[in-house]
Amino acid sequence: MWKYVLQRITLALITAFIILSLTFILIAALPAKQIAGTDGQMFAFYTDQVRLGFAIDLPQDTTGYGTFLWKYTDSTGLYHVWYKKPILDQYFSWLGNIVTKWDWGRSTQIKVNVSAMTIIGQRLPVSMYLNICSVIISVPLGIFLGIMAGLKKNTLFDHTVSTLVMIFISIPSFVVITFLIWIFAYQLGWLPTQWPSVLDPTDQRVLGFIIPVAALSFGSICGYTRFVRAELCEVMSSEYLLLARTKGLTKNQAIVRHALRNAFVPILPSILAEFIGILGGSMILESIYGIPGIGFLYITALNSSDYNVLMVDMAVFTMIGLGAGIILDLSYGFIDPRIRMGAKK
Amino acid sequence: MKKTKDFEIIEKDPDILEAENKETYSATNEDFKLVNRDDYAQDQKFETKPTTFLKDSLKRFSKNKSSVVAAWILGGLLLLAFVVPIVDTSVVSKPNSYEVYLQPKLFDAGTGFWDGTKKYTNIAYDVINGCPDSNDFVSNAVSDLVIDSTPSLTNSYSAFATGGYVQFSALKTNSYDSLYLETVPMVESQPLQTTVSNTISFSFGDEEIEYYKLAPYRIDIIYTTYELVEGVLHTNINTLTLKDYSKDYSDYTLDVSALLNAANPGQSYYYDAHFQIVMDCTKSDLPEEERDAWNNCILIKSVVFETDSTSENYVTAFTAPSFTDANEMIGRTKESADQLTVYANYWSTNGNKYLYHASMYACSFTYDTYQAAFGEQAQTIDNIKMNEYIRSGWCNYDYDIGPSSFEKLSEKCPVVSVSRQETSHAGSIVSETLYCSVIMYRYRGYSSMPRYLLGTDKSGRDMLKYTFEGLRTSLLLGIITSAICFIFGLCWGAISGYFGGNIDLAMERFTDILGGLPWIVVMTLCIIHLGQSFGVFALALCLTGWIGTSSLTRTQFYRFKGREYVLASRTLGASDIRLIFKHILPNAMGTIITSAVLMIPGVIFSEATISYLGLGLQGMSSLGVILSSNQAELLQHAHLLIFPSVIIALLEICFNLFGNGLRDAINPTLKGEDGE
Repeated sequence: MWKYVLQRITLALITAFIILSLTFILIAALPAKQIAGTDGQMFAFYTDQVRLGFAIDLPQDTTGYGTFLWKYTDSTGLYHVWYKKPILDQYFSWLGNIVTKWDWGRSTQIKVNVSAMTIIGQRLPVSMYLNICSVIISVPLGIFLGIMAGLKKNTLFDHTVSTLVMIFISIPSFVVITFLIWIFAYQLGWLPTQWPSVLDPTDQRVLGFIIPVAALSFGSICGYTRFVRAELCEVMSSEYLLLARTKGLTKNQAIVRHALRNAFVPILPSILAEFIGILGGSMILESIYGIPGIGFLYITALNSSDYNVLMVDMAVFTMIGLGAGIILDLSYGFIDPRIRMGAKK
Repeated sequence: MKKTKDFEIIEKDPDILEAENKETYSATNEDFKLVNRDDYAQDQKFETKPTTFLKDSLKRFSKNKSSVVAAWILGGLLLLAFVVPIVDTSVVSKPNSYEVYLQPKLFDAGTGFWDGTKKYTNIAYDVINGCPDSNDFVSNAVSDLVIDSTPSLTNSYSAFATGGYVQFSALKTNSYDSLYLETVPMVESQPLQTTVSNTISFSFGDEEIEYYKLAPYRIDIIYTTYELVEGVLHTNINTLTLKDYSKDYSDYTLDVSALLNAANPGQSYYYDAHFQIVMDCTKSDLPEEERDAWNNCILIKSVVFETDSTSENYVTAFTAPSFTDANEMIGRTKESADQLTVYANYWSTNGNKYLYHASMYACSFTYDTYQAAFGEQAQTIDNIKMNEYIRSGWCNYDYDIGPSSFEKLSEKCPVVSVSRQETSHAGSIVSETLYCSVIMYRYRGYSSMPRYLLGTDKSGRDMLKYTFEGLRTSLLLGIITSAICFIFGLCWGAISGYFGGNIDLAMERFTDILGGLPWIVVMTLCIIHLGQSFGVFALALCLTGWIGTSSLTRTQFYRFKGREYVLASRTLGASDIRLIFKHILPNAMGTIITSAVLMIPGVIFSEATISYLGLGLQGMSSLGVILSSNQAELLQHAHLLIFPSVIIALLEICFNLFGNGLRDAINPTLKGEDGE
């Protein structure tokens, strides 16, 4: 088991390394945008870029060195001209900075010369809170609906739930949030029309959670319901459940002790994976509702061409995706020892 | 199927059998009778026709009612997506600016539902002209007008508001919790000089009055002292009533002349007469919760300059400018100076100046957007246009006689009446301007009032055509991308699955890495490198899209390649190509095709998502582009979002239902499972 875990993690790290390297090179090849800041900030930024190994500082104009970045005469009268280093040089500097200093680069537009990691760190909690709320709501509700539908298979309740699940799983989340905002915020006026700021009163801030959490939860609730229902239906028709009944267990005993337990084997890992995966899924939602999370940051960074922040944001999404995959696979083995993912025949 | 008719069991009635069973039953030889002993038994032809795989699938599919309905809806949408943009003749690429934001209209106006009208509430009411805000609304399109009985309070300047306070405010500094107004340097010899940090200066005509606010020594007694200091006051201003809404709760009157003398004895200040500031510091007009927020501003309720008639020093410019109406005062700075009749035409400060609590009557009404855009309106037309109408035989008009000669001959004539005629000469060319009442839809060249089923958007695009054009693009992108992914994924998966071993291992590692890339990252990178065209979108979506198909194909190949019939064929010398295409693929095809169909809604969703990121298709409409560009209009014009949202939701639902039905039909063993 441990060997397999190590194998998976190593493989994921290699994959992440290749992906991030490719992403960095592709992004470094893009034309750099002028820094949005004052001369002082720009001077500090480019001095820092030289220290980090992404640019070179020359005392006079030189032709044919590389892409020209900026020139400036500092307060001591020294003349500086900055040129971009070749992409491969930048790549190795970048790698070196991450490995030695855990430095992922500096923001160029959003907050000039602030470490991109810091910016991500500031934005991450909001996204986390939202997703935790969503999981807290959607997991019990989804499982409950799934169990009810599974136990009352082919009844009116089951058909209603299944139809609703089918509909809501198909409707894109941005459509759901658009309509939620339109109905509950604009038409009825019950909820804030966008994410309340930190200065707003507490009740407004609590109310502000409702729309995004609801929009996030709809899809998950439907997903869980469908999954639980399918698993339960399969278990219900299995032979060991029949055996349990023939042993003299009541229907309830059989369901709780045998059916549910076994049905939950594949459900739990998927909850875990969804919890991680959902972090990346709220990008549009955050931008529509104006939530200052990492999804919104991605869009801001993209639109303002702050490529360093974009790069780190991409890295976060990639790592989340890979992590979710590993956890999903591994947790099968932990929960049900009979399952050995990746085992040889 | 072969059936030899050697024996025939003589069936007995089950009741009798049972009855016999209870007793001893023994089969005798007579029970088994040989039949047709002499006949040569032969294969018999089926009486029914053999069914094909497709027919069988279709039969199974048609049993699934919801999938059939979904298929029909999908077919309808597909048809509409290609038919509507051709049939609908309105121009989407070059929209008309006068047709913006028309409401959806199917029925005649006044029906109350889907009739091109929109309900407005809380709109400023123009008391003088007796209609809602005439800048934004055409009065003859307004119906069901209800005016509020009590005025509402507004904090922004409006042409229809009266009264109110002027509020000065400025940026906060870090060091002082007080007003910060730049530019005026402090003079050392200021009276009551403490840590003077800020000034407001405003000017009346040529005169400048500087209003200094002294910062406090202690934070908890902020803004207790205000002074109006005037260095070169050549006028006879007696009182300046300032209303302060700070933490003080009392009236405050300051005699500056005394202060100035006290602070700077002996210094020659030139002031004509008694000069004082009255600060009315009651905060009671402000709502409780707003008081703290107003710490950084000064509200001036009214400014009254009283000229001192006894002074003979000079005839002041300020004869009688008394601004009691803050709304008017703010308005003066906004409007052009020539509208002002008073000398003090201008009032400026270094800080920000806002209106606070002016009162305004609001009204609500139903507004017919079509009437506003295409109904009868006042419009000036020139003689060229008029000559056109005369030539068409629609009306008569004699320029020499003037407006009274207008005669309408045909219903097609856009002009209803002419009220005035103006003649202008430019060299030898004489041009006439006619002030007419015109029926706008005829003037715009429509034969009848246009009717847009889904209204128009901010550029005047017909939403019906625009949405279906978008649907067409989205569907095309979905189908093309799925087809490419299907073909490529199939080849990749087939090779990987069929050959296995090291080839499989290498290919799998490659897909692992590619699959680890979030699609949103791939799309972002592709688009910022290559542009926002249809081809780039298809490419970007294909880059990671094929992985699903490939892994499915690989699994299917692993499943079937070990089967006996494959082995049999192999031993007969079949080539790899033949094995793949003739034996394995047909078995695996059903599942793979279904996954390709289910990929289409996924692609449409991805495209919509990327549009929301601001990287949508350029120069083309797609559902995502329409939705994301209209997202900001949710409050005002929800109809622009509702229809495209419904279409995309319907599309996703139908594709999923159809795909699931297709999977059940093609692969009956998977029936009832919920695959992704």
